[in-house]
Amino acid sequence: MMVSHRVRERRTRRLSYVEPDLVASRLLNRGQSTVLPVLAIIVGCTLVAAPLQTVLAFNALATGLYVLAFIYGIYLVQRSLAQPGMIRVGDALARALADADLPICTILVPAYREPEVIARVIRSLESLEYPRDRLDIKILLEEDDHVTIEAARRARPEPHIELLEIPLGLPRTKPRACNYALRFARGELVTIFDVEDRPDPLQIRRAVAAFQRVDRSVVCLQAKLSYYNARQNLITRWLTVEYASWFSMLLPALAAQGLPVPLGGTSMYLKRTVLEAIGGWDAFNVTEDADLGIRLHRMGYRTAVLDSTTYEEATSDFVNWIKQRSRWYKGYMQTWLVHSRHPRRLWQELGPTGFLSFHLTIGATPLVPLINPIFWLLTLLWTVGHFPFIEILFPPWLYYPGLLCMVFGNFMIIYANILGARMGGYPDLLGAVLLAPIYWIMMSIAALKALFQLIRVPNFWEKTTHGLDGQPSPEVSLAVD
Amino acid sequence: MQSTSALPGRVAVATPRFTLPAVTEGAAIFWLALTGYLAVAVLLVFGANIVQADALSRVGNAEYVLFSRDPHLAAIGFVWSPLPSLLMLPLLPFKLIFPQLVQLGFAANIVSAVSMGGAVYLTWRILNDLAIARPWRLILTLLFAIHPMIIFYGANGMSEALFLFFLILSVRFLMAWLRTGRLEWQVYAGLALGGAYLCRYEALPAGLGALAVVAIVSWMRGQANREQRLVTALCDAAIVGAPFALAVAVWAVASYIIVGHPFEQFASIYGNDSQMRTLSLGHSSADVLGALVQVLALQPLLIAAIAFGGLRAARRRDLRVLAIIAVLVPVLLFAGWARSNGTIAPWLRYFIAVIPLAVLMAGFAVGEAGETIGRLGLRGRLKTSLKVAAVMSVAVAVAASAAAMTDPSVAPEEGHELSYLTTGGQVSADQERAARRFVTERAIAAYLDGLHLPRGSVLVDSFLGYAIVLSSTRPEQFVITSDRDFKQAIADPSGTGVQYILVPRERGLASLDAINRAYPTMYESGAGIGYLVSEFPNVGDGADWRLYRGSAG
Repeated sequence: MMVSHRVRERRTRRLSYVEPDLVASRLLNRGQSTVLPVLAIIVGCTLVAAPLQTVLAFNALATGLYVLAFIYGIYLVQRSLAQPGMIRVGDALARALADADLPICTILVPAYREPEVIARVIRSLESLEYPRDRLDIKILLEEDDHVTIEAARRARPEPHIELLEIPLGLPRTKPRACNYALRFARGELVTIFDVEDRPDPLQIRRAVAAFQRVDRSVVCLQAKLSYYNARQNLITRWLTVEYASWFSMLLPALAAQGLPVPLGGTSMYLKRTVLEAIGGWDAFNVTEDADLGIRLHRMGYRTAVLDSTTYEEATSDFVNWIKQRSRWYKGYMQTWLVHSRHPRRLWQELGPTGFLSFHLTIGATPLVPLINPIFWLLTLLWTVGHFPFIEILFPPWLYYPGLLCMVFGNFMIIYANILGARMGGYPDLLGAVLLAPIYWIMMSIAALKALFQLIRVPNFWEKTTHGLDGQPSPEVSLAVD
Repeated sequence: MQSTSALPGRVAVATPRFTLPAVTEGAAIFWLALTGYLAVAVLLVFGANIVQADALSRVGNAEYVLFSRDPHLAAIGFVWSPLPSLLMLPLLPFKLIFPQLVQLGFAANIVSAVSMGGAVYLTWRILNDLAIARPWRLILTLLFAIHPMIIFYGANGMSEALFLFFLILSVRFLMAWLRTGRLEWQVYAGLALGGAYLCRYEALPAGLGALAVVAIVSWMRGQANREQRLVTALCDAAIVGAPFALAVAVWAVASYIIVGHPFEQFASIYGNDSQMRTLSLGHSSADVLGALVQVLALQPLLIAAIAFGGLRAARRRDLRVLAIIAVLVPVLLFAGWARSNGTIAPWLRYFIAVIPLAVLMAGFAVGEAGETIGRLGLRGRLKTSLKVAAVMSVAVAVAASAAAMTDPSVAPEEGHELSYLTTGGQVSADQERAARRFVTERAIAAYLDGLHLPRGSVLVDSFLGYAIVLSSTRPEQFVITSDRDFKQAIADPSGTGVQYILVPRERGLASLDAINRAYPTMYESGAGIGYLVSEFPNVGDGADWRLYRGSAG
């Protein structure tokens, strides 16, 4: 398909035309690039003129952030305990929908340099219990990724699975590919699956049934994500607990309370017309899912959580984990910077609670692991030898809240993860939860890497290697046709 | 409420009549109980000078945090659980308007009245959850609320009220979990148990009981796969146990960091073990029979209530009865065991948990409303008579414990002061002294206040001297145990600015007084560091005090 460069750009970067200021192509907009240096200069001056007061001020800000995050965490956990907040559609109900009533669903499966797993994904898609003629599956392959294209062709996919080649362009990211494919999407619903995903076969049916049930403002249904190699090693266990807490507990609480919901990377079911109207995905954002969730909320649309699970592959080695996690943190930082560009508009669009929730969910998530090591170090120094400078840094009005956050805040995180593991059906991962402090150290390393990448290569999408679960291609249950 | 206008063509307009906001039954019960206990508290403290030593001591802990010479949070003390004192902290600033909050320790009475009101409300709530018919529900709640032990401990400022509140709260949450299996109730049950631990250490057996029930029931309810079942049960127990474990751990760690030992209750010289040894209460206390008598004094027909309730619950396969048994029975068993080997003193209040146990079990015996309607046959009448019997067994307790509490042989702690109230004519020497408790200490405080001494001039161990410090209008003139330089002050009084030393006569618990331990001849002759200024023989049941003035050198 030969298209002119200009047309291609418009397709992949449609957000730049719809909402130019919400694109992460520039990390800082004009307002931010003036304000930030000015702030830096002011801080520098105060640091020189009154060093102790400045450090105390930073300490106060950090402690304030911890306290806010602590209260926010308790609030979300309590809300999720009180009401589950997920939409359940039973198997019988899902199957009861007549084929003729089912809308066409576009499934985008972006792949890049993954010849080993491409065969798997084709088999996995065939397990979906949805009529073939209502599925519009597009496997998105980069134009120059000949290895994967060849492997995909060799796997001989069914006619309803289309191999779409994405023309070259920058930035080479998943959302850019998805934006391009959106132009060719036929479905009423659009969703994304990753290459290694194993969705619940009835998932699309459940989504359709759920859409019939919810308010018209709900244009997105996020299914739960989990991992099929949950117990492979400690890292996968940690990841599984994290996902369980996030998708079974926190995300439904956010959705139920009408707060902005950052989406997961796959298995979100969006109404195509709305998606196109709001500009598709942000090609420059490395966590385009979180960004889309916030943008949806800002435009007045809502997301709900669907009680249906897609199983992904958890990264099982340390280096890959750091790559993935630093990308997530970098993306959250990008998302936070982008959406903070016009604070007054953000306040109006999200409302006061949504505004606060946005900052605590998107802003605090990468920020807290960055400042944690400082406080850990101070605590360690204090325990080992009661250095007087630490006592000066922590006057009683900072010391007690800080102590409270350290003891009860950390307990709350671990406890919430136990609850999440239990809710998600993984009670045996209790041991991994108790080892969480090591995981926190890893998170801080990833956050630091994210910060560096943010400054140097903000739009660089660091690819996670898949197929490391050491499993042979699974026997996927044959689809009921 | 509608009032249609009589004029044709007019639209009917709804004009609501003014009505009082609906007062729910539960709210009414809480407020009635609270008011009642506060009224009794006022009578006890202001009318009869019945102030519990332990209660005043807890007020002292709170006072030292805020108003002592060295205010700091750790002054709350690590020998006893902190929560009752922490709850008093917000009340203390009001002592500027009502000095009696501190001088007579009324702050403690307020906290216990509110807690016991809460406990009564929770009992009503549980009976409500059991769907008992309204008359029975109200009768049982009343029998709980007017039980003399409950009234007394609701009014007298001791921590039993707060402890019962948290225990009954955990029972309620556990019952909700047993019925619905929802995660929510597990979490709150764990939190309630943690709260109970921060009131009294006897919550430990209650926590273990709750954990056992959660683990077993979760295991029984589990799915087929054996390993998964076990792990799920463990996880469920962890969810209940974690907040509880946190309370234990945080308190132990804080204690370790500040005073050097994680369990001050046992290690401290002021703690339970030390006091028991000093008073040689161990031997007289070590009788199981005595314990049994006390339990039965509080709830004579306890066995009947448990039996009836247990039977009814078993027949209906109602697991909720396990919540009551798992939380309350271990507390009693522990108290009985500790009594039998002389670890704890023979105080009646250690068995207070038997009262909610009996009332709630009677609630089970009464059963759901509407169960016996239409059953007028033998079975129906049997059921009704069982109900009545269960309720009577609780009612009898009211009279029995009133008698028990005024008998010093059954209630060694409060027997004297309460019997003073009830004896018409002859009063014994013990009763007289109980009636004049803390009078001397207040006089000492007034005397010292009159000397207008500078900060930190009077050294006293607040272990026994708390009443003096609290009655004073100038608490900062004292150097007390919770001050961070207390040990220095004892070692070198004049060097730290101390001019006067208050020391109690070495008898009974006063041998644990820090000054007596450091200077054994202090009371007798001034230990060569001071000369006698004034002597205060105690007219009440406290120690005799002597005031020494430091001599130079």
